[in-house]
Amino acid sequence: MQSSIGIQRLEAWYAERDWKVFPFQRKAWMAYRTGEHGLINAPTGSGKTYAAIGGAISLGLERDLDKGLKVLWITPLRALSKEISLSCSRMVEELDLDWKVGVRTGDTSTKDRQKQFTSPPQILVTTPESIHVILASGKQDKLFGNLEAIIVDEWHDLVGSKRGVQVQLAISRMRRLSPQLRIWGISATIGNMDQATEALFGESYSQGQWKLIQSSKRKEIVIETLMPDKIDDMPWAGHLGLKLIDLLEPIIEDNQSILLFTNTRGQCEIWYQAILHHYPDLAGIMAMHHGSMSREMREWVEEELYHGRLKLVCCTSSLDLGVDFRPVEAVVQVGSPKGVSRLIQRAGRSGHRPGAVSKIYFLPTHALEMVEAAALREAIEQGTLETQVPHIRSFDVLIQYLNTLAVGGGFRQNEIYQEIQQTFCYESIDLDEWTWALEFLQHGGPGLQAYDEYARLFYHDGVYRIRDKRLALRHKLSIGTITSEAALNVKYTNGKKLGTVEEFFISQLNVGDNFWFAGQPLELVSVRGPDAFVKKSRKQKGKTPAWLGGRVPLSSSLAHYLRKKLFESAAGLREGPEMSAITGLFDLQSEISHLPADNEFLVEYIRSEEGYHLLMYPFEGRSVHEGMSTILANRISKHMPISFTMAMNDYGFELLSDKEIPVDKLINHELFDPRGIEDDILNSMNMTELARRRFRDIAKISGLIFTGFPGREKKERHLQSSSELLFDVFKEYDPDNWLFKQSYEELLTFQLEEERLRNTLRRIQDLEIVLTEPRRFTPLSFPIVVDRLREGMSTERLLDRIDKMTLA
Amino acid sequence: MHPDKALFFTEDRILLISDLHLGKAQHFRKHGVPIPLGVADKNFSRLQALCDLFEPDRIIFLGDLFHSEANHSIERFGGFRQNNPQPCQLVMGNHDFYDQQTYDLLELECIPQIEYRNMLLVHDAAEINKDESRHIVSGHVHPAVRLKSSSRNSLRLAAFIFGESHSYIPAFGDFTGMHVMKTKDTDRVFAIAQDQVVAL
Repeated sequence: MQSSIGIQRLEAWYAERDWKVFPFQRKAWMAYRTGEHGLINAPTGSGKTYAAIGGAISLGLERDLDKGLKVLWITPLRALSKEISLSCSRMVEELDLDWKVGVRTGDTSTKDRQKQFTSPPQILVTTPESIHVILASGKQDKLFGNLEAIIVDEWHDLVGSKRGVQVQLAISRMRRLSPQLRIWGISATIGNMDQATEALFGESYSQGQWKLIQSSKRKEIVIETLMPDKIDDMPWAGHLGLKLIDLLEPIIEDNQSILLFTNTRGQCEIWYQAILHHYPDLAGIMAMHHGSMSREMREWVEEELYHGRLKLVCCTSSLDLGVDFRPVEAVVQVGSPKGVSRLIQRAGRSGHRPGAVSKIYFLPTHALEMVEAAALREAIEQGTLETQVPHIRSFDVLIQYLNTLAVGGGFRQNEIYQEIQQTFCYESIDLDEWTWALEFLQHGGPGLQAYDEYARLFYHDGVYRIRDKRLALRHKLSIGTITSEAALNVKYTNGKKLGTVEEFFISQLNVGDNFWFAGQPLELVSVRGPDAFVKKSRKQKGKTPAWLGGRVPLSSSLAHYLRKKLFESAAGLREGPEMSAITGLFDLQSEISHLPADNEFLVEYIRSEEGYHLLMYPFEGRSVHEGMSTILANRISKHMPISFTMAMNDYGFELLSDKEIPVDKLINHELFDPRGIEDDILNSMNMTELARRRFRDIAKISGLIFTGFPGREKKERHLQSSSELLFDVFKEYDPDNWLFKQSYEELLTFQLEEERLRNTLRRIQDLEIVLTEPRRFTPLSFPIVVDRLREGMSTERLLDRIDKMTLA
Repeated sequence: MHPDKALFFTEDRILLISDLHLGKAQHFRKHGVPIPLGVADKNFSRLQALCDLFEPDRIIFLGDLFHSEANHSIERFGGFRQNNPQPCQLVMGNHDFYDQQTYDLLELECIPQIEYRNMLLVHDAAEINKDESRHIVSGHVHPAVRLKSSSRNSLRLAAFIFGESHSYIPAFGDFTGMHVMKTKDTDRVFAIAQDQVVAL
């Protein structure tokens, strides 16, 4: 087949550079040219950018120029938008195409934004939030009228979040504004590729009007676990892993540039200090990177890494995505990454040369994590990956979107209803629910109808519009679905921003106290509004901030292999370096309790001076254990008035009581009956509390609470109490409110993973329950028992509880 | 002591209540936080219930009667005064900044502190001289205690705390929050457990 002129010129451009056009790139270009939708399944650094944009550019090279925006490129990260626009500009300029490439993010100046409306670039690189801001501008029809394609980058990252829902909504609108629109996605492989594809294409998915384009590249990954010579030195519990810091020495010596991933920001800070203390030579060629550091600081670190000027960077998931750092030669993972995809992503940060092997060193923080290393290796061999569950029926995002459209010139309800029904997220919304959403925006529903500020829209002449300018401004400022914890800006007294810490951390400090941030000792000077002012301190002491929400639960995919490894071990099969290393620990577990085989479910009942510990080990990850412990506590307490505190980790959970628990009578299959768990969940106090917390984000996203005008942000504590009150109002006066119900649905689906919980209970039905009563804590129980973060529940009378307590 | 966070001196038939924060709900509402009207009503109905129960000769409010700027709750309070005409005193607190006229209208005698027997009744104990010899009774802090069991259960309860030289009265108003106090061995602590006052 004779190639078209556009394709020929692209090929010539590749040839000039001694590059090869990969087959998947050519395939993508051709599909684009014929007007198809497509999903490019390729890892970072494989030439996916040119695969996605080449088709549009080849058409541009052939056609007469009708000016206007052609391609909208959506990326989840601002940092990536720069890289993408540079790549695109390079291709455009060197091919002498008279196109402009623009970037529009939250950082873009007002002047540049205005210019993008009057003389639009042909390619615009932007974020999901920025598109919605455009939809609220009233100028969207003109800007998007000639749009040829929308390209969604890193779809695997967006699909499982509410930003993914925003993308779906934006696509549904633009398809109407520009009927010939092509939808393209770029995604790394995830466990539920089909579902992710469906979420992107919506109705077109089942109609088969799309192409899947896969690059054949697959990278080899090697995991090496760092183990001390004497395995008995490994602690039974803990999450820092600093004991093994010596083992880093050969890695630091042998490699030019190293990334050290930790699982939380607090851990990142602590490791940075520890390494600097241990290897003082690294001062000046070592840095830190995490999501609470200011953007300027992070960009500086990225820049230095890119140019190979840093020997070691301590980082968190903030470096999982984004720009390629070719100089990185080795990656260290501290503590279990808790998921297969995350490990692959991080390992992929090294060995960027084509064909090179990605090597990752795994540094376990306690002995049992070695099993996770073995499980990870097998999971990777088997090609298992995590799924990213797309949100469905997110009423909060829908309410925000309708508000956006109302601000941007108004909307006709039947038109929009038709559009959203074509999206994956809202295909099941029926007319009643849709009418509810419109009513809610007009009047606030039964709970809020008395208050004017919740009547946001008015209906006139078939069009819904925003009621006044103040509401419109308020809305424009709050577009987005990323919500953050209560954060205070950390600033030098000259105003330079270092980053953010959570309000609760600063509230523990007094003026003059020292703390560490981004590797520097700082002294707190004053707290004013949303800012905590600091100066550099000479003292080398101080607290390290902790950020909430640090712990990621074990993924379902990894949990499967973890159990497999443990069961193998119980059967005497201990292959691989990690499993043979912790043989002693398993032997001890069998000796004083039991090591469960694949047809067994282990329950331990241990008495200590603290009370009676009931421990169970489903090995399903802490989110499932959280739900399960609540259900069991609820069921046991139906038999007798009793108070529990609960603790859990990824292997099991504990119910601790000061009363003896009649285990012989209670521990049977009936206790684990998967039927009726909805009632157990809903009846428990904790669930209301968890749903109330969950509601905070929903209230923010749906615009029920306003975080304040720039520079005059409201105190987080204030917002928190506002959203909690709203929750209570709905609970009492408007329990059918979909936003209220959504908080429970999200809690069940995403936090408690209801489906997984149900499956776990079903699995236990087929297992033999093995109850042991060890005289002391076992290797499995110890890490759970020492956990101090506990939830409580009780069915005892308040006075009986007080009786057993003393003043703290 | 009454579990609805009030103290009643039987001999002189004095009802002592602290930190009502009337109108706090409206204050929130004004700042965009909806609180159902029921909350404010509860404060008044609870107050009325106490008056019906004890039939006091005198009512002392230990500061922070109204939460903030003029609102609807002044009128409600006026209604309460009409039904309960006995002498009423307000020990001035940090939230009590209405003009004298309003207080006169409500027939509230406003005073910075009250001497009663060997006690000094004030809103905020922190503003009192260190060498004060009289026993100080104050509100303001919204006192509460934390209880713990050996199995790491914990509870937070509003409390009356009677110390050697200081005593603290719990806050009456709903939605007013609590502050956990450190107690001394010599303190006598009474926690409010739903509808009972429990000695600890």
